[in-house]
Amino acid sequence: MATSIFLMALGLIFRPRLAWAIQTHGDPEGLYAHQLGHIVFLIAMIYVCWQIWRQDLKARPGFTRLFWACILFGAWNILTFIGHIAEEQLDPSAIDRSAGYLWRTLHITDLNGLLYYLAKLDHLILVPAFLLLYLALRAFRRRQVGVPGP
Amino acid sequence: MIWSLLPSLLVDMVGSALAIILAALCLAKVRQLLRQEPENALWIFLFWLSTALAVFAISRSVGHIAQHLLIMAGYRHIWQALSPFSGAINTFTFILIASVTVFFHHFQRIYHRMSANHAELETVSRDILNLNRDLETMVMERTMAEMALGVADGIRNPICVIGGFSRLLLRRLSPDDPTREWLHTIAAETKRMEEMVEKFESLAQKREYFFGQEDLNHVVQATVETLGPEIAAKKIVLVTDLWPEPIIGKINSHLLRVALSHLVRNAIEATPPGGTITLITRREGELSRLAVQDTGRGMPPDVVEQIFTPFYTTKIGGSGLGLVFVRQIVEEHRGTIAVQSQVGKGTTINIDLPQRFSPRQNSDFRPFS
Repeated sequence: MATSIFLMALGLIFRPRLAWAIQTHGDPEGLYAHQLGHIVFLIAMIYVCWQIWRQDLKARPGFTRLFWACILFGAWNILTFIGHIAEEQLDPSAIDRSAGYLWRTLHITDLNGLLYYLAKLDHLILVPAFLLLYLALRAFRRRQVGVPGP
Repeated sequence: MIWSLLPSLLVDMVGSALAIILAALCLAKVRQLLRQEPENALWIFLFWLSTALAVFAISRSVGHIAQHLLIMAGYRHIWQALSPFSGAINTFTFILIASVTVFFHHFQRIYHRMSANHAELETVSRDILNLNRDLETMVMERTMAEMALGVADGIRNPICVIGGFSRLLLRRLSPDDPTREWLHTIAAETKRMEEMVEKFESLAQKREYFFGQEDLNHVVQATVETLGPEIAAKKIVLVTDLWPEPIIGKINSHLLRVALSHLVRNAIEATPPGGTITLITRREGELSRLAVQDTGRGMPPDVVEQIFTPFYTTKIGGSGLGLVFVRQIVEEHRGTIAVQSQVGKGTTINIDLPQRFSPRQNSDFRPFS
């Protein structure tokens, strides 16, 4: 066994072949990495929600808001994940740019078009998520300095 | 169905601006929390989460706003060059958020374990303090008793002699002898001193407060009741070989139980699953013997020599005081403790206790010697 490994190592040293160690990263890889990023972000938010639930922290000031902030961040990840897929599958001719950038229109013919449109409104989830996170932190701070919370 | 994309553009622009503002506010707030309590695990987690979200909000929102403005201004090509950077930073922040959360998960587990250890340490410290207080009281009590016994032993005979002779002289002297009054005084003062000796002796009786007539077998049974589940949990066989009759002696059952529990716990730690711990009680003449045997890993002679040295320990996190207390408890009972151990075979600890108290032979107090 040791002899075979030694001979193999000798062969690799004296008769090397192309290993293709550096691979070119093709076009869709960026999107896949980004989508995977959305998934791990979603899992992280689910974990925080589960911890708040498991440790029965919702009754304590600030934690309910933190819980809902994480729910909204999670929902935002789902929406944008779907939005990226919808964008990939959208027929470019569905968007009419003839009237200028401001006045673009979307011709919705199927569910994919509708999902693309809804995903473009993702800030309607993201901003409330940030707001709830801020309110949670403010409640924690008030409790820390002894100011009675709502 | 044709829908205008203008609402989505407006929501995107306003939402992006709001996201930046709110992310900055979150970061400022969590910094305040952390500044006041820099070691709070939750604030540390929220700080890093808010930092990652702030980077994400800035990267994404600036990217979105720049996208709209550049395209409207006719610089689509610039946006096309910038777009991959914005997307890459967004992806990086997602991973960062997940990493912070995973780190927090492990951090929290360690934190909880440390908290539990801290609570346990506090309990142990409190127990040691209580034990120490009991021992100090016992030492004080013993010193008083030994003083009393020493004074009584040393004074009683001379007092008796003086008292006896003064009374004899009184009987022999004629009633009109002028020294008679002096002898009366001597006899009265001697009487007072005899009473003082009696008081000293009564101090010695106070030992009853700490030591009562109790059965050594009961001490062993009570300890087994407490530690039985720990022994069973480690799948160790427990054998109790008790003397068939009660072994009544002057003991402090609470302190002896503390000492025996410590020895049994040491045996549990040293004995592997499947091993045996044996508790033995015997009556040997005037002595009561209590033995703890285990079939554990044993100790080399150099360790055995030092196990009663204060602060000497072979355990990680051990105080090195447990066996010191055990020895002191045994000595307070005027007993002796001996250790026999063989590496790989096990350890036997023998405690011999006298069934009746007598002044300690090596007492430091020598008032009349």
